Amino acid sequence: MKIPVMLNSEKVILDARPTESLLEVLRSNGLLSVKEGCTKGKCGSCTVLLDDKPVPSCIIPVGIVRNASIETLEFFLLTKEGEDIISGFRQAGMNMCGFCNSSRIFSTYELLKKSYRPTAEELDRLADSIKCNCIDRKTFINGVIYATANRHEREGRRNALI
Amino acid sequence: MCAKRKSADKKNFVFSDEFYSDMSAPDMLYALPITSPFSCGKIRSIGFAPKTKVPEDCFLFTGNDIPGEKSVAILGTEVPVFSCGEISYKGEILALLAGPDREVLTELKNSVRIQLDGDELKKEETEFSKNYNFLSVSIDDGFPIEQSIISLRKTIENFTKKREIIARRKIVTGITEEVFSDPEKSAYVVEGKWNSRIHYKSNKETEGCLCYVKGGNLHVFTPCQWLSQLSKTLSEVTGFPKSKIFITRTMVSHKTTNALWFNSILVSQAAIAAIKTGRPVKYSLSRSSQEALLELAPNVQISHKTALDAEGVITAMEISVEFDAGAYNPFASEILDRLAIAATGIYSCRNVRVSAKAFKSHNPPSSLHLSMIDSHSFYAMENQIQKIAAQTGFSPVDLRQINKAGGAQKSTWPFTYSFGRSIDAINAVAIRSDFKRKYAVSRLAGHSRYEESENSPYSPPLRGIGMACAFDGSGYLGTFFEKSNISMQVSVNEEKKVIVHAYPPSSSIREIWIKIITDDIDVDRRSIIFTNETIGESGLKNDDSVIIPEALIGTVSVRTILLKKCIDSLKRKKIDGTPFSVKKSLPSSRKKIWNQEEFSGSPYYNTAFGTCTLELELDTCTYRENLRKICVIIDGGRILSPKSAENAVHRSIQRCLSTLVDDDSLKCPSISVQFMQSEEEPKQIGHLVYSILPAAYASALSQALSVTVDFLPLQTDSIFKICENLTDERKVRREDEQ
Repeated sequence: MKIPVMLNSEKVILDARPTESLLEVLRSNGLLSVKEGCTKGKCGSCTVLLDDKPVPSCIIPVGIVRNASIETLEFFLLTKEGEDIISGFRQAGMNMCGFCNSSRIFSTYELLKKSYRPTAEELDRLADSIKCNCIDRKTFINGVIYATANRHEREGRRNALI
Repeated sequence: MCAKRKSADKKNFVFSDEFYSDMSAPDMLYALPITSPFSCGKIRSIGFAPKTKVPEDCFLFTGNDIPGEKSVAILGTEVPVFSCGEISYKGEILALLAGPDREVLTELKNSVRIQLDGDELKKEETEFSKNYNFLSVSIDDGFPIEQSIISLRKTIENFTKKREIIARRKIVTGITEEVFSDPEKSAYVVEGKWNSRIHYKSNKETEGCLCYVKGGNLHVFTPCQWLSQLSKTLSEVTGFPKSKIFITRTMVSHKTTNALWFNSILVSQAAIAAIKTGRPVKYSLSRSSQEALLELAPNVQISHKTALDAEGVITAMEISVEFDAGAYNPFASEILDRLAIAATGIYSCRNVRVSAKAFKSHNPPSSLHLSMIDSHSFYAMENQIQKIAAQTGFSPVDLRQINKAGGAQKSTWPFTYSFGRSIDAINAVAIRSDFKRKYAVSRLAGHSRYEESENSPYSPPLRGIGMACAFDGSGYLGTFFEKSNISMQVSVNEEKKVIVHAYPPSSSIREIWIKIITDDIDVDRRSIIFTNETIGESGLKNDDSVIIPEALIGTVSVRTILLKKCIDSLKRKKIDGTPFSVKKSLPSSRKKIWNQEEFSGSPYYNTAFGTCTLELELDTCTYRENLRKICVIIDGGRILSPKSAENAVHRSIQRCLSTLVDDDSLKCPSISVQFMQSEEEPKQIGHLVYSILPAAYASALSQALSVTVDFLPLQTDSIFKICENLTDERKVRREDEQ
C-alpha cells in the first residue's frame, strides 16, 4: 500500500502494509532515533511528532497516517525549538541513555508550546510522564527550565530564570 | 606487507556508542529463537512440520549444526548453546530460525515441531505408577503428547523429585539452640519469613547482536559486559581462533546478571547462523523473551528466628536462606556466599546459625542482580528488626543502636566490617525525620484498631514510618578477587592528553574521575580520554584467561582510590609532551584480610554505611499508599563530587521506588539526602539505596496496616486484598464472640 506523508518536512510515499506499525516503517526507512521499547505505547522510546503532537509510533498503524505530518528527532533537533531544548538539557548536565531521548524532548516541546512559563505542577507532571529512570527528576526539571530560558532568549522575551 | 601490518594492528575489542539494533548490513538475515514451551522433557527431534513450504533462504539451526563445543563452561557451570537432550526450563532456546523477512519468520515459527521422547515418558510413567495410584494423565489417553508430558512431568516433579541443592553455605557461631531454650536469654522470640522478588525492569534495547564472517574473521557487534568470556565462548563454539574474532561492544542497556553471561550464548547462536549461511545475521530477543530470560524476578526466601533478652539485646539468631537458582546459574555459589555474609545485616550477636542453600529447578536461571545481592539479606533483616520492635515494644532506633556491630555485645561473627559513624547516622536520621514521635503515634493509632473501633478498621488516618540500615561493600574479596587483577593505569601522551586506561562504569563515576584529575592536574576536561586499552578487559595477555567482570566484585571505589594514587604520582611530574605512564595496583596485604577457605575475615575492601526512614499514609478510598517523606543519610567516606553523588542517590531512589509495586512507579514529594562529612577514603554508595529503601517501605506499610507485609514487590491491588482479608477475619472473629 502506498501512503503519502510529510516525513520530516519532505513529501514521501511510504510503501508498507497498512497494519504495520509506524515504528517499524520509520525504522526501516533509516530513521533510527525512533527506538523499539515496550511496543505497548507506554515507555515513550518510539515517540514521534504526528501533526505536531507527540505520539507513541509503536501502536499507530501506518495505514492511518495518510497525508499526516511526521517529525522524528533527526529533523526536530535541527529546528530552533529542538536546539533550545537540547542545549537546555546539556546546560543541566543531562546525559540521556539514548532510548528516552525522543520521549523527553518531544514531551518538553509540547509543554513549552502550551505554556510560556511552565508551573511547578506542570513540570512535575511532565517528569511523571517520563518512564525511563536514566536521569533523576530534579536534573530533568532543571533541563526543562533551561530549555524554557533558551526559548525566551531566542524569542527576545523575558527570561524564565529571572 | 602493508596490508599485513594493518591487519596485525586491528584491535580485537572496540567500543562503540551505537546500539546494535540500529545497525544493519547488506544482504542481512534476521534470526528468531525457537524456545521450549515446556519446562522439561527429552528432545527427540526439531524440524518443520510435514508439508511446510520453507522459503529457500530460510534456515533452521539446532544443536547439531554447532561446529565446535555444544556447551560451554562459564565459571565452572556447563551451559548448552542449544538444548539438544533434556529441556532444562520453559523458554530455553532450542533452535534458531533465520531468514531475510521477519514477518515470514514469525509465521514460519508456528510450523516448527518439537518432538519429545515418548519412551522416556512411558518409563517415567511406569516408575511413577509404582509409587502413586492417582496418576491423572496418561500418554495413551488420547491427549496430544505434549499436554501429557507437561501434566505428567509436573505431577512427577511435585511428588517424587527432591530439590537438588547446588550450593550450600553454613555459618555457625556460639550455642544458638541452648539460648533459644533458656528463658532468661530468650525473653522474646520473634519469627519472620521474608520474600523478596524485587527486580529492575526497563524497556530499553533487548539483548542480541549483529555478526558476520568476512575475510576469514568473525565480526560481532553486541552490548557485551564480559568480553573475555564472549571471546572464549565464541572460539570454543565456532572453532575460530580468538585472534580471528573481532568484537565491537555497543551501548549496554541491561546490566542484569543473566545478561552478563547469557550474551555469550546468544552471540554464539547467531555466529553459527552467520557461519553456516555466510551472510550477516541480526539476532534480537523479543521483549517477552527478554523478560523471561534476562529480567526475571529472583526468588529468595529468608526466614529469621530471633531471641532477645529483657534488655533488648539480641541473644541468638537462626537464619535460613533459600534461593532458587533456576536450571543452571554460573554465579549461584557466589550469590549464596554474599547472601550469607549479609544475613545478619549490620548487627552482631554471639550465637548465630545461618544456613543458606541454592536449589536447582526447572525455572530459567535466576537473575539476582550481582551489585545488589546483599539487598535481599538486608531487606529480611531490617524487616525482622521492625517486627521485633512492633512485637516487643522496644524502639526501632534503640534496638538498632544496642545491637549494631561494635555495640553492647562482643561479636563472634566471623566477618568484620567498618561502619564508620553509624551511630551518629542513625541518630541523625531519627532526628531529621522525627522518627521516634511519629513511630509512637502510628503505633498507638494501630494498636487497638481492630478490637475497639466500631468503624471500619481502615478509616483514616492510617500512617506508618519505617527505618532501615545497611552497608554497601565494595571490592568483594571472595573467590574471584585474586583472578581479577585490579589496577589502574594513567598515561600522558605527546599531545599532553591524559589517558585513563579504564572505562568509568557510569556517567556519575565518569564525572567523579574527571574531577579527581582536573582538581590535581592542570588539564582541560576535553583532554581526558578514557580507553580500555592495555589493561582490563582488552588486556588478554594470556589467551586462556577470563577476566572477571567488574559487577561481580564491585571495584568502582577501589578503582577510584587507585586512580587518585595514580594522579598523586602524576602531579609530581611535569607534563611537557614527554609520554609517560603510571600504574597502581592493590597492595597484596589488603587481599590477605579475607580467608576464603575458612570463610572469615573482612569480606570487602571497604564498606559504606547508609540509613533511611520512609513515611507513608494510606488512602482508604483507593487503597493505595502515598509516600510522604524519605530521609537518607550516608557515611560514604570522602565524597569526591557531592553534586554527582547526590544525583546518583536521587536516581537510585527513583529507580528503587519504581520496583516496589509491579507496573507502577511510586513517587515521593519530599526526599532528603545527606552525606556525613568524613576524611576516610571514598567508598561505593551507588547501591545502598536498594538495600535500605525496600525494607523501610515494607516496615512503614506494615505499621500503617497493622499487618506484617512480608513480600515485595506488591501488586497494585495488594493493599486492597490485605485489607479485605483482615475485614473478613474481623467479621468471623466478631461472629464467634457473639
